[in-house]
Amino acid sequence: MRTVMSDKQRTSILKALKYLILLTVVFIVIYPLVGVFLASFKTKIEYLSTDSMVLPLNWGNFENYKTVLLKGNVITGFANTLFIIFFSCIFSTLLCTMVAYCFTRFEFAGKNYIDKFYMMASFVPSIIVHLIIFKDFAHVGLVNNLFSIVILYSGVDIVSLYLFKQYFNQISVAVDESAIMEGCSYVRVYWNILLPMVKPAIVTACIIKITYIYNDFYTAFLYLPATEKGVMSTVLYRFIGPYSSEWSVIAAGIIVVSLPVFIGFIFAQKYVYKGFSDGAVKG
Amino acid sequence: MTNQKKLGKKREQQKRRTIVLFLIIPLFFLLYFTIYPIAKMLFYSLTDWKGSASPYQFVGFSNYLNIFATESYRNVFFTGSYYLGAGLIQQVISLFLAVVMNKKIQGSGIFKGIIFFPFIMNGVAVAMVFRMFYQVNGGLDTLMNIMGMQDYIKIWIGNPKTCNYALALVYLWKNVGYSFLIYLGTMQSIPAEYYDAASIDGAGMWAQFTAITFPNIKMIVGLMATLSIVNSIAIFDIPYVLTNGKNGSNTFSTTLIETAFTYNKYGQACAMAICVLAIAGVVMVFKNIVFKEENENSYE
Repeated sequence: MRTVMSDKQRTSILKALKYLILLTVVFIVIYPLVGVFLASFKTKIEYLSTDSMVLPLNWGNFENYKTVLLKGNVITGFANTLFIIFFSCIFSTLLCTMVAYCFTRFEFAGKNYIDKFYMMASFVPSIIVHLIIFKDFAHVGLVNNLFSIVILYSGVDIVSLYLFKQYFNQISVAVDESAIMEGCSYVRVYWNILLPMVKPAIVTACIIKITYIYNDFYTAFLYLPATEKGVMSTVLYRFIGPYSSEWSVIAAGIIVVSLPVFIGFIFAQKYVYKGFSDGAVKG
Repeated sequence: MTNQKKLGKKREQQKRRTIVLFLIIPLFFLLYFTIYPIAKMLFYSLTDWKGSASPYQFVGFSNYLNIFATESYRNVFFTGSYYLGAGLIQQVISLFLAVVMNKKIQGSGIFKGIIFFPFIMNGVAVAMVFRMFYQVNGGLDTLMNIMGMQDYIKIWIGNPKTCNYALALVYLWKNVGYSFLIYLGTMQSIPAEYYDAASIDGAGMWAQFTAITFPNIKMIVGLMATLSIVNSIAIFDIPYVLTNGKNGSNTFSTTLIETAFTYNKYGQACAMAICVLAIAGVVMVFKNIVFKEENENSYE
Protein backbone atom coordinates (compact mmCIF):
# COMPACT_ATOMS: atom_id res chain seq x y z
CA MET A 1 0.00 0.00 0.00
CA ARG A 2 2.76 2.40 0.95
CA THR A 3 4.72 1.72 -2.20
CA VAL A 4 1.66 2.42 -4.32
CA MET A 5 1.22 5.74 -2.58
CA SER A 6 4.83 6.76 -3.03
CA ASP A 7 4.71 5.68 -6.64
CA LYS A 8 1.71 7.86 -7.18
CA GLN A 9 3.41 10.70 -5.39
CA ARG A 10 6.48 10.22 -7.49
CA THR A 11 4.56 10.43 -10.74
CA SER A 12 2.72 13.55 -9.68
CA ILE A 13 5.94 15.24 -8.60
CA LEU A 14 7.46 14.25 -11.91
CA LYS A 15 4.47 15.64 -13.73
CA ALA A 16 4.69 18.92 -11.84
CA LEU A 17 8.38 19.10 -12.66
CA LYS A 18 7.65 18.54 -16.33
CA TYR A 19 5.14 21.36 -16.39
CA LEU A 20 7.56 23.60 -14.55
CA ILE A 21 10.23 22.94 -17.18
CA LEU A 22 7.84 23.45 -20.07
CA LEU A 23 6.38 26.63 -18.62
CA THR A 24 9.88 28.01 -18.13
CA VAL A 25 10.68 27.32 -21.77
CA VAL A 26 7.40 28.86 -22.88
CA PHE A 27 8.23 31.92 -20.81
CA ILE A 28 11.68 32.23 -22.43
CA VAL A 29 10.16 31.95 -25.90
CA ILE A 30 7.27 34.33 -25.33
CA TYR A 31 8.81 36.96 -23.06
CA PRO A 32 10.84 38.85 -25.72
CA LEU A 33 7.83 38.78 -28.04
CA VAL A 34 5.47 40.20 -25.43
CA GLY A 35 7.76 43.17 -25.00
CA VAL A 36 7.56 43.85 -28.74
CA PHE A 37 3.80 43.44 -28.78
CA LEU A 38 3.32 45.90 -25.94
CA ALA A 39 5.74 48.37 -27.50
CA SER A 40 3.79 48.37 -30.74
CA PHE A 41 0.91 50.16 -28.98
CA LYS A 42 3.05 52.74 -27.22
CA THR A 43 3.83 56.25 -28.36
CA LYS A 44 7.44 57.23 -28.92
CA ILE A 45 7.68 59.07 -25.61
CA GLU A 46 5.82 56.37 -23.77
CA TYR A 47 8.23 53.75 -25.10
CA LEU A 48 11.27 55.70 -23.97
CA SER A 49 9.88 56.45 -20.54
CA THR A 50 8.46 53.06 -19.55
CA ASP A 51 9.87 49.62 -18.88
CA SER A 52 9.25 47.05 -21.57
CA MET A 53 6.72 45.15 -19.47
CA VAL A 54 4.56 48.17 -18.63
CA LEU A 55 1.24 47.93 -20.44
CA PRO A 56 0.53 50.63 -23.02
CA LEU A 57 -1.64 53.53 -21.88
CA ASN A 58 -3.95 53.26 -24.82
CA TRP A 59 -4.60 49.87 -26.45
CA GLY A 60 -6.43 51.69 -29.22
CA ASN A 61 -3.27 53.43 -30.35
CA PHE A 62 -2.82 52.04 -33.86
CA GLU A 63 -0.63 54.91 -35.05
CA ASN A 64 2.46 52.71 -35.28
CA TYR A 65 0.62 50.16 -37.37
CA LYS A 66 -0.70 52.93 -39.60
CA THR A 67 2.84 54.22 -40.11
CA VAL A 68 4.06 50.73 -40.94
CA LEU A 69 1.32 50.01 -43.46
CA LEU A 70 1.18 53.43 -45.09
CA LYS A 71 4.79 54.56 -45.09
CA GLY A 72 6.78 51.39 -44.59
CA ASN A 73 6.26 49.73 -47.99
CA VAL A 74 4.96 46.68 -46.20
CA ILE A 75 2.11 46.17 -48.65
CA THR A 76 4.48 46.32 -51.63
CA GLY A 77 6.82 43.99 -49.78
CA PHE A 78 4.04 41.54 -49.11
CA ALA A 79 2.90 41.60 -52.73
CA ASN A 80 6.47 41.08 -53.97
CA THR A 81 7.00 38.24 -51.53
CA LEU A 82 3.79 36.53 -52.66
CA PHE A 83 4.79 36.95 -56.30
CA ILE A 84 8.19 35.38 -55.65
CA ILE A 85 6.72 32.56 -53.58
CA PHE A 86 4.08 31.77 -56.19
CA PHE A 87 6.44 31.45 -59.14
CA SER A 88 9.26 29.83 -57.19
CA CYS A 89 6.92 27.13 -55.93
CA ILE A 90 5.63 26.39 -59.41
CA PHE A 91 9.05 26.28 -61.03
CA SER A 92 10.83 24.38 -58.29
CA THR A 93 8.02 21.83 -58.04
CA LEU A 94 8.20 21.28 -61.79
CA LEU A 95 11.98 20.95 -61.90
CA CYS A 96 12.20 18.75 -58.81
CA THR A 97 9.47 16.38 -59.95
CA MET A 98 10.92 16.17 -63.44
CA VAL A 99 14.31 15.14 -62.08
CA ALA A 100 12.71 12.73 -59.59
CA TYR A 101 10.61 11.23 -62.39
CA CYS A 102 13.65 10.57 -64.56
CA PHE A 103 15.60 9.17 -61.62
CA THR A 104 12.91 6.74 -60.54
CA ARG A 105 11.53 5.69 -63.95
CA PHE A 106 14.52 5.50 -66.30
CA GLU A 107 17.97 4.01 -66.39
CA PHE A 108 20.49 6.18 -68.17
CA ALA A 109 24.20 6.81 -68.25
CA GLY A 110 25.52 9.06 -65.52
CA LYS A 111 22.43 8.78 -63.32
CA ASN A 112 24.37 7.85 -60.21
CA TYR A 113 26.86 10.63 -60.77
CA ILE A 114 24.12 13.23 -61.08
CA ASP A 115 22.57 11.90 -57.90
CA LYS A 116 25.86 12.17 -56.00
CA PHE A 117 26.37 15.57 -57.49
CA TYR A 118 23.09 16.85 -56.06
CA MET A 119 24.13 15.45 -52.71
CA MET A 120 27.44 17.30 -52.86
CA ALA A 121 25.90 20.50 -54.14
CA SER A 122 23.60 20.59 -51.13
CA PHE A 123 26.64 21.12 -48.95
CA VAL A 124 27.81 24.23 -50.74
CA PRO A 125 26.73 27.17 -48.57
CA SER A 126 24.56 29.28 -50.88
CA ILE A 127 25.95 32.47 -49.39
CA ILE A 128 29.28 32.00 -51.18
CA VAL A 129 28.15 31.22 -54.71
CA HIS A 130 26.40 34.58 -54.88
CA LEU A 131 29.78 36.31 -55.03
CA ILE A 132 30.02 35.14 -58.62
CA ILE A 133 26.37 34.77 -59.60
CA PHE A 134 25.56 38.28 -58.46
CA LYS A 135 28.25 39.75 -60.71
CA ASP A 136 26.80 37.86 -63.68
CA PHE A 137 23.24 38.90 -62.89
CA ALA A 138 24.30 42.51 -62.48
CA HIS A 139 26.14 42.31 -65.76
CA VAL A 140 23.01 41.31 -67.69
CA GLY A 141 20.75 43.68 -65.76
CA LEU A 142 18.90 41.09 -63.71
CA VAL A 143 19.32 42.98 -60.46
CA ASN A 144 16.09 44.47 -59.11
CA ASN A 145 14.11 42.05 -61.20
CA LEU A 146 11.77 39.82 -59.21
CA PHE A 147 12.33 36.99 -61.67
CA SER A 148 16.04 36.94 -60.93
CA ILE A 149 15.29 35.84 -57.42
CA VAL A 150 12.66 33.37 -58.65
CA ILE A 151 15.40 31.73 -60.73
CA LEU A 152 17.64 31.52 -57.67
CA TYR A 153 14.90 29.83 -55.64
CA SER A 154 13.89 27.45 -58.41
CA GLY A 155 16.92 25.20 -58.45
CA VAL A 156 16.46 21.59 -57.39
CA ASP A 157 17.09 21.21 -53.69
CA ILE A 158 18.08 17.89 -52.28
CA VAL A 159 15.34 17.73 -49.67
CA SER A 160 12.51 18.06 -52.18
CA LEU A 161 14.31 15.76 -54.60
CA TYR A 162 14.50 12.92 -52.11
CA LEU A 163 10.97 13.55 -51.00
CA PHE A 164 9.64 13.28 -54.56
CA LYS A 165 11.83 10.29 -55.34
CA GLN A 166 10.38 8.52 -52.36
CA TYR A 167 6.82 9.27 -53.46
CA PHE A 168 7.42 8.25 -57.06
CA ASN A 169 9.00 5.01 -55.90
CA GLN A 170 5.87 4.18 -53.94
CA ILE A 171 3.79 4.32 -57.10
CA SER A 172 3.93 1.05 -59.01
CA VAL A 173 5.51 1.18 -62.46
CA ALA A 174 2.50 -0.84 -63.63
CA VAL A 175 0.52 2.39 -63.43
CA ASP A 176 2.85 3.99 -65.98
CA GLU A 177 2.90 0.93 -68.15
CA SER A 178 -0.82 0.57 -68.53
CA ALA A 179 -1.08 4.23 -69.50
CA ILE A 180 1.69 3.84 -72.06
CA MET A 181 -0.10 0.79 -73.49
CA GLU A 182 -3.07 3.02 -74.06
CA GLY A 183 -0.92 5.39 -76.03
CA CYS A 184 0.18 7.94 -73.41
CA SER A 185 3.55 9.56 -73.94
CA TYR A 186 6.05 9.71 -71.07
CA VAL A 187 5.39 13.38 -70.66
CA ARG A 188 1.67 12.74 -70.29
CA VAL A 189 2.28 9.94 -67.82
CA TYR A 190 4.30 12.38 -65.74
CA TRP A 191 1.89 15.26 -66.08
CA ASN A 192 -1.54 13.61 -66.04
CA ILE A 193 -0.99 10.57 -63.89
CA LEU A 194 2.02 10.79 -61.59
CA LEU A 195 1.98 14.46 -60.68
CA PRO A 196 -1.57 14.39 -59.26
CA MET A 197 -0.62 11.31 -57.24
CA VAL A 198 2.23 13.03 -55.40
CA LYS A 199 0.16 16.00 -54.23
CA PRO A 200 1.02 15.44 -50.54
CA ALA A 201 4.71 15.64 -51.39
CA ILE A 202 4.12 18.82 -53.36
CA VAL A 203 2.39 20.40 -50.36
CA THR A 204 5.24 19.37 -48.07
CA ALA A 205 7.94 20.64 -50.42
CA CYS A 206 6.13 23.92 -50.98
CA ILE A 207 5.70 24.57 -47.28
CA ILE A 208 9.44 24.23 -46.73
CA LYS A 209 10.04 26.46 -49.74
CA ILE A 210 7.54 29.12 -48.63
CA THR A 211 9.02 29.27 -45.14
CA TYR A 212 12.49 29.53 -46.57
CA ILE A 213 11.62 32.28 -49.02
CA TYR A 214 9.55 34.29 -46.57
CA ASN A 215 12.40 34.29 -44.06
CA ASP A 216 15.35 34.64 -46.38
CA PHE A 217 17.02 37.99 -46.02
CA TYR A 218 20.37 37.66 -47.71
CA THR A 219 19.30 36.85 -51.27
CA ALA A 220 16.69 39.58 -51.46
CA PHE A 221 19.03 42.06 -49.79
CA LEU A 222 21.61 41.42 -52.50
CA TYR A 223 19.49 41.03 -55.62
CA LEU A 224 16.61 43.41 -54.90
CA PRO A 225 18.17 46.56 -53.45
CA ALA A 226 15.51 48.98 -54.78
CA THR A 227 12.93 50.15 -52.25
CA GLU A 228 9.97 49.25 -54.45
CA LYS A 229 11.35 45.73 -54.95
CA GLY A 230 11.51 45.01 -51.24
CA VAL A 231 10.31 41.73 -49.76
CA MET A 232 9.15 41.25 -46.17
CA SER A 233 12.68 40.77 -44.77
CA THR A 234 14.27 43.70 -46.54
CA VAL A 235 11.30 46.01 -45.95
CA LEU A 236 11.58 45.34 -42.24
CA TYR A 237 15.35 45.71 -42.32
CA ARG A 238 15.03 49.13 -43.94
CA PHE A 239 12.96 50.36 -40.98
CA ILE A 240 16.21 50.68 -39.07
CA GLY A 241 17.22 53.75 -41.06
CA PRO A 242 14.25 56.13 -40.87
CA TYR A 243 12.74 54.80 -37.63
CA SER A 244 15.89 54.00 -35.67
CA SER A 245 14.74 56.23 -32.87
CA GLU A 246 11.13 55.07 -33.01
CA TRP A 247 11.24 51.56 -31.71
CA SER A 248 7.50 51.44 -31.24
CA VAL A 249 7.09 51.74 -35.02
CA ILE A 250 9.69 49.03 -35.58
CA ALA A 251 7.82 46.88 -33.04
CA ALA A 252 4.65 47.24 -35.09
CA GLY A 253 6.69 46.30 -38.17
CA ILE A 254 7.94 43.13 -36.48
CA ILE A 255 4.38 42.16 -35.57
CA VAL A 256 3.06 42.85 -39.08
CA VAL A 257 5.83 40.83 -40.73
CA SER A 258 5.44 37.92 -38.31
CA LEU A 259 1.64 37.79 -38.37
CA PRO A 260 1.23 35.98 -41.73
CA VAL A 261 3.67 33.29 -40.58
CA PHE A 262 1.85 32.98 -37.29
CA ILE A 263 -1.56 32.62 -38.94
CA GLY A 264 -0.21 30.24 -41.56
CA PHE A 265 1.43 28.15 -38.88
CA ILE A 266 -1.76 27.84 -36.85
CA PHE A 267 -3.72 26.61 -39.86
CA ALA A 268 -1.08 24.39 -41.43
CA GLN A 269 0.67 23.21 -38.27
CA LYS A 270 0.44 19.53 -39.17
CA TYR A 271 1.95 20.04 -42.62
CA VAL A 272 4.66 22.34 -41.31
CA TYR A 273 5.80 19.74 -38.77
CA LYS A 274 5.66 17.01 -41.37
CA GLY A 275 7.53 19.11 -43.90
CA PHE A 276 10.39 19.91 -41.59
CA SER A 277 10.73 16.44 -40.10
CA ASP A 278 10.66 14.78 -43.53
CA GLY A 279 13.10 17.34 -44.83
CA ALA A 280 15.62 16.92 -42.03
CA VAL A 281 15.88 13.17 -42.12
CA LYS A 282 16.28 13.05 -45.89
CA GLY A 283 18.58 16.02 -46.20
CA MET B 1 7.12 -8.97 -84.55
CA THR B 2 8.69 -6.28 -86.69
CA ASN B 3 5.85 -4.06 -85.67
CA GLN B 4 6.65 -4.59 -82.02
CA LYS B 5 10.32 -3.95 -82.67
CA LYS B 6 9.45 -0.72 -84.39
CA LEU B 7 7.26 0.26 -81.48
CA GLY B 8 10.07 -0.60 -79.07
CA LYS B 9 12.51 1.52 -81.00
CA LYS B 10 10.09 4.39 -81.12
CA ARG B 11 9.58 4.15 -77.40
CA GLU B 12 13.31 4.06 -76.77
CA GLN B 13 13.62 7.24 -78.79
CA GLN B 14 10.74 8.86 -76.95
CA LYS B 15 12.32 7.86 -73.66
CA ARG B 16 15.61 9.48 -74.56
CA ARG B 17 13.87 12.64 -75.65
CA THR B 18 11.91 12.80 -72.41
CA ILE B 19 15.07 12.43 -70.33
CA VAL B 20 16.79 15.23 -72.20
CA LEU B 21 13.71 17.44 -72.04
CA PHE B 22 13.27 16.90 -68.30
CA LEU B 23 16.88 17.12 -67.21
CA ILE B 24 18.31 19.85 -69.35
CA ILE B 25 17.13 22.84 -67.30
CA PRO B 26 17.77 21.31 -63.85
CA LEU B 27 21.24 20.20 -64.90
CA PHE B 28 22.03 23.58 -66.32
CA PHE B 29 21.02 25.16 -62.99
CA LEU B 30 23.09 22.63 -61.10
CA LEU B 31 26.18 23.46 -63.11
CA TYR B 32 25.56 27.17 -63.17
CA PHE B 33 24.86 27.52 -59.47
CA THR B 34 27.58 25.22 -58.15
CA ILE B 35 30.43 24.10 -60.42
CA TYR B 36 30.72 27.31 -62.36
CA PRO B 37 30.94 29.72 -59.40
CA ILE B 38 33.27 27.41 -57.50
CA ALA B 39 35.63 27.14 -60.46
CA LYS B 40 35.56 30.88 -60.91
CA MET B 41 36.16 31.50 -57.21
CA LEU B 42 39.11 29.13 -57.19
CA PHE B 43 40.59 31.11 -60.03
CA TYR B 44 39.90 34.58 -58.65
CA SER B 45 41.07 33.63 -55.17
CA LEU B 46 44.56 33.63 -56.60
CA THR B 47 44.20 37.15 -57.99
CA ASP B 48 43.64 40.67 -56.74
CA TRP B 49 40.44 41.08 -58.76
CA LYS B 50 38.43 44.14 -57.71
CA GLY B 51 35.15 42.96 -59.17
CA SER B 52 35.26 45.40 -62.05
CA ALA B 53 36.45 45.13 -65.62
CA SER B 54 39.85 46.47 -64.62
CA PRO B 55 42.75 44.07 -65.12
CA TYR B 56 43.84 41.85 -62.27
CA GLN B 57 47.09 40.22 -61.34
CA PHE B 58 47.95 36.87 -59.92
CA VAL B 59 48.98 37.13 -56.34
CA GLY B 60 49.51 33.46 -55.56
CA PHE B 61 48.25 32.29 -52.21
CA SER B 62 48.54 35.63 -50.47
CA ASN B 63 44.74 36.00 -50.20
CA TYR B 64 44.62 32.72 -48.31
CA LEU B 65 47.51 33.73 -46.07
CA ASN B 66 45.75 37.03 -45.41
CA ILE B 67 42.82 35.22 -43.84
CA PHE B 68 45.08 33.97 -41.09
CA ALA B 69 47.37 36.99 -40.96
CA THR B 70 44.69 39.68 -40.71
CA GLU B 71 43.11 40.17 -37.33
CA SER B 72 39.61 41.03 -38.57
CA TYR B 73 39.56 37.98 -40.86
CA ARG B 74 40.97 35.62 -38.29
CA ASN B 75 38.35 36.77 -35.85
CA VAL B 76 35.60 35.03 -37.81
CA PHE B 77 36.79 31.63 -36.60
CA PHE B 78 36.57 32.92 -33.08
CA THR B 79 33.06 34.27 -33.60
CA GLY B 80 32.03 31.05 -35.31
CA SER B 81 32.98 29.12 -32.19
CA TYR B 82 30.25 30.93 -30.21
CA TYR B 83 27.60 29.76 -32.67
CA LEU B 84 29.12 26.32 -32.78
CA GLY B 85 28.88 26.21 -28.99
CA ALA B 86 25.29 27.42 -29.17
CA GLY B 87 24.57 24.74 -31.79
CA LEU B 88 25.81 22.01 -29.49
CA ILE B 89 23.94 23.37 -26.47
CA GLN B 90 20.91 23.50 -28.75
CA GLN B 91 21.16 19.72 -29.27
CA VAL B 92 21.30 19.07 -25.54
CA ILE B 93 18.38 21.35 -24.70
CA SER B 94 16.17 20.12 -27.51
CA LEU B 95 16.96 16.51 -26.69
CA PHE B 96 15.99 17.17 -23.09
CA LEU B 97 12.75 18.89 -24.08
CA ALA B 98 11.90 16.08 -26.48
CA VAL B 99 12.32 13.55 -23.66
CA VAL B 100 10.08 15.65 -21.41
CA MET B 101 7.40 15.84 -24.10
CA ASN B 102 7.75 12.29 -25.37
CA LYS B 103 5.22 10.76 -22.97
CA LYS B 104 1.63 11.90 -23.20
CA ILE B 105 1.20 15.20 -21.47
CA GLN B 106 -1.73 17.57 -21.44
CA GLY B 107 -1.39 20.62 -23.66
CA SER B 108 1.49 19.08 -25.58
CA GLY B 109 0.22 20.53 -28.86
CA ILE B 110 0.43 24.07 -27.57
CA PHE B 111 3.83 23.54 -25.95
CA LYS B 112 5.16 22.02 -29.14
CA GLY B 113 3.82 24.90 -31.22
CA ILE B 114 5.29 27.57 -28.96
CA ILE B 115 8.71 25.93 -28.79
CA PHE B 116 8.79 25.45 -32.57
CA PHE B 117 7.45 28.83 -33.69
CA PRO B 118 10.69 30.88 -33.39
CA PHE B 119 12.28 28.63 -35.97
CA ILE B 120 9.87 29.69 -38.70
CA MET B 121 9.90 33.34 -37.68
CA ASN B 122 11.56 35.76 -40.08
CA GLY B 123 15.25 36.06 -39.24
CA VAL B 124 15.25 39.85 -39.51
CA ALA B 125 12.20 40.04 -37.25
CA VAL B 126 13.91 37.82 -34.68
CA ALA B 127 17.06 39.93 -34.78
CA MET B 128 14.97 43.07 -34.22
CA VAL B 129 13.02 41.50 -31.39
CA PHE B 130 16.32 40.94 -29.66
CA ARG B 131 17.66 44.36 -30.48
CA MET B 132 14.76 45.62 -28.40
CA PHE B 133 15.27 42.90 -25.82
CA TYR B 134 18.92 43.85 -25.22
CA GLN B 135 18.34 47.62 -25.30
CA VAL B 136 18.89 49.75 -22.22
CA ASN B 137 15.64 49.34 -20.26
CA GLY B 138 14.62 46.65 -22.74
CA GLY B 139 13.17 43.25 -21.94
CA LEU B 140 16.28 41.77 -20.38
CA ASP B 141 16.96 44.75 -18.11
CA THR B 142 13.34 44.75 -16.99
CA LEU B 143 13.54 41.07 -16.15
CA MET B 144 16.76 41.52 -14.19
CA ASN B 145 15.24 44.41 -12.25
CA ILE B 146 12.29 42.24 -11.30
CA MET B 147 14.60 39.45 -10.17
CA GLY B 148 16.70 41.87 -8.14
CA MET B 149 19.78 41.45 -10.29
CA GLN B 150 20.04 45.10 -11.32
CA ASP B 151 23.70 45.21 -10.31
CA TYR B 152 24.56 42.81 -13.10
CA ILE B 153 22.90 44.79 -15.87
CA LYS B 154 25.32 45.55 -18.68
CA ILE B 155 25.27 47.12 -22.08
CA TRP B 156 24.67 43.81 -23.78
CA ILE B 157 25.33 44.04 -27.49
CA GLY B 158 27.32 47.28 -27.38
CA ASN B 159 29.98 45.55 -25.36
CA PRO B 160 32.56 43.26 -27.06
CA LYS B 161 32.71 41.11 -23.93
CA THR B 162 29.04 40.14 -23.93
CA CYS B 163 28.12 40.77 -27.55
CA ASN B 164 28.84 37.33 -29.00
CA TYR B 165 27.19 35.54 -26.11
CA ALA B 166 24.11 37.68 -26.59
CA LEU B 167 24.01 36.93 -30.31
CA ALA B 168 24.66 33.21 -29.89
CA LEU B 169 21.74 33.16 -27.46
CA VAL B 170 19.48 34.59 -30.16
CA TYR B 171 20.64 31.82 -32.48
CA LEU B 172 19.84 29.28 -29.78
CA TRP B 173 16.41 30.83 -29.14
CA LYS B 174 15.53 30.64 -32.81
CA ASN B 175 16.80 27.12 -33.56
CA VAL B 176 16.00 24.98 -30.52
CA GLY B 177 12.50 24.34 -31.85
CA TYR B 178 13.83 22.75 -35.01
CA SER B 179 16.02 20.08 -33.48
CA PHE B 180 13.35 19.60 -30.81
CA LEU B 181 10.79 18.78 -33.51
CA ILE B 182 13.15 16.33 -35.20
CA TYR B 183 14.09 14.56 -31.96
CA LEU B 184 10.51 14.38 -30.78
CA GLY B 185 9.39 12.91 -34.10
CA THR B 186 12.14 10.31 -34.01
CA MET B 187 11.41 9.38 -30.40
CA GLN B 188 7.72 8.99 -31.07
CA SER B 189 8.48 6.50 -33.81
CA ILE B 190 10.07 4.19 -31.22
CA PRO B 191 7.42 1.56 -30.36
CA ALA B 192 5.82 2.18 -26.97
CA GLU B 193 6.11 -1.53 -26.12
CA TYR B 194 9.84 -1.09 -25.58
CA TYR B 195 9.18 1.36 -22.79
CA ASP B 196 6.38 -0.73 -21.31
CA ALA B 197 8.62 -3.76 -21.19
CA ALA B 198 11.42 -1.72 -19.66
CA SER B 199 9.25 -0.26 -16.91
CA ILE B 200 7.92 -3.72 -16.05
CA ASP B 201 11.54 -4.73 -15.63
CA GLY B 202 11.87 -1.80 -13.27
CA ALA B 203 14.00 0.47 -15.45
CA GLY B 204 13.91 4.09 -14.31
CA MET B 205 13.73 7.12 -16.55
CA TRP B 206 17.46 7.48 -16.97
CA ALA B 207 17.88 3.76 -17.67
CA GLN B 208 15.11 3.94 -20.25
CA PHE B 209 16.79 6.89 -21.91
CA THR B 210 20.21 5.26 -22.14
CA ALA B 211 18.94 1.81 -23.07
CA ILE B 212 16.08 2.63 -25.46
CA THR B 213 15.79 6.26 -26.47
CA PHE B 214 19.39 7.21 -27.09
CA PRO B 215 20.48 4.21 -29.18
CA ASN B 216 17.50 4.86 -31.44
CA ILE B 217 18.19 8.52 -32.02
CA LYS B 218 21.95 8.77 -31.78
CA MET B 219 22.35 8.82 -35.57
CA ILE B 220 19.99 11.77 -35.89
CA VAL B 221 21.70 13.57 -33.02
CA GLY B 222 25.06 13.10 -34.72
CA LEU B 223 23.64 14.29 -38.01
CA MET B 224 22.11 17.40 -36.47
CA ALA B 225 25.29 18.22 -34.56
CA THR B 226 27.32 17.86 -37.76
CA LEU B 227 24.98 20.13 -39.65
CA SER B 228 25.20 22.72 -36.91
CA ILE B 229 28.93 22.97 -37.67
CA VAL B 230 28.20 24.04 -41.24
CA ASN B 231 25.43 26.36 -40.10
CA SER B 232 27.65 28.06 -37.56
CA ILE B 233 29.92 29.29 -40.38
CA ALA B 234 27.17 30.57 -42.64
CA ILE B 235 25.32 32.60 -40.03
CA PHE B 236 24.31 35.98 -41.42
CA ASP B 237 21.00 37.61 -40.38
CA ILE B 238 21.58 37.75 -36.65
CA PRO B 239 24.96 39.54 -36.56
CA TYR B 240 24.15 41.65 -39.60
CA VAL B 241 20.92 43.09 -38.22
CA LEU B 242 21.86 43.18 -34.55
CA THR B 243 25.35 44.63 -34.68
CA ASN B 244 26.36 44.88 -38.33
CA GLY B 245 29.44 42.90 -37.41
CA LYS B 246 30.61 45.42 -34.81
CA ASN B 247 32.12 44.60 -31.42
CA GLY B 248 33.91 41.53 -32.72
CA SER B 249 30.71 39.85 -33.91
CA ASN B 250 31.66 39.60 -37.58
CA THR B 251 31.12 36.11 -38.92
CA PHE B 252 32.37 34.46 -42.06
CA SER B 253 29.28 35.57 -43.94
CA THR B 254 29.20 39.19 -42.81
CA THR B 255 32.93 39.58 -43.45
CA LEU B 256 32.59 37.95 -46.84
CA ILE B 257 29.86 40.37 -47.88
CA GLU B 258 31.74 43.36 -46.56
CA THR B 259 35.00 42.35 -48.22
CA ALA B 260 33.34 41.79 -51.57
CA PHE B 261 30.57 44.33 -51.81
CA THR B 262 31.80 47.18 -49.60
CA TYR B 263 35.55 47.07 -50.17
CA ASN B 264 35.44 45.41 -53.59
CA LYS B 265 38.20 43.00 -52.63
CA TYR B 266 36.73 40.20 -54.67
CA GLY B 267 39.90 38.14 -54.85
CA GLN B 268 40.14 38.18 -51.07
CA ALA B 269 36.44 37.34 -50.68
CA CYS B 270 36.80 34.43 -53.09
CA ALA B 271 39.64 33.00 -51.00
CA MET B 272 37.42 33.22 -47.93
CA ALA B 273 34.58 31.55 -49.79
CA ILE B 274 36.86 28.69 -50.80
CA CYS B 275 37.88 28.41 -47.18
CA VAL B 276 34.21 28.07 -46.15
CA LEU B 277 33.72 25.53 -48.86
CA ALA B 278 36.70 23.52 -47.64
CA ILE B 279 35.28 23.43 -44.12
CA ALA B 280 31.88 22.36 -45.44
CA GLY B 281 33.59 19.73 -47.58
CA VAL B 282 35.52 18.28 -44.65
CA VAL B 283 32.33 18.17 -42.60
CA MET B 284 30.53 16.41 -45.45
CA VAL B 285 33.22 13.77 -45.84
CA PHE B 286 33.25 13.27 -42.10
CA LYS B 287 29.47 12.94 -42.07
CA ASN B 288 29.50 10.45 -44.90
CA ILE B 289 32.11 8.25 -43.23
CA VAL B 290 30.50 8.28 -39.82
CA PHE B 291 26.88 8.05 -40.92
CA LYS B 292 27.34 5.82 -43.92
CA GLU B 293 25.05 3.16 -42.56
CA GLU B 294 22.34 5.70 -41.91
CA ASN B 295 22.57 7.04 -45.46
CA GLU B 296 22.19 3.62 -46.96
CA ASN B 297 19.12 2.97 -44.90
CA SER B 298 17.28 6.21 -45.44
CA TYR B 299 17.71 6.65 -49.17
CA GLU B 300 15.55 4.18 -51.02
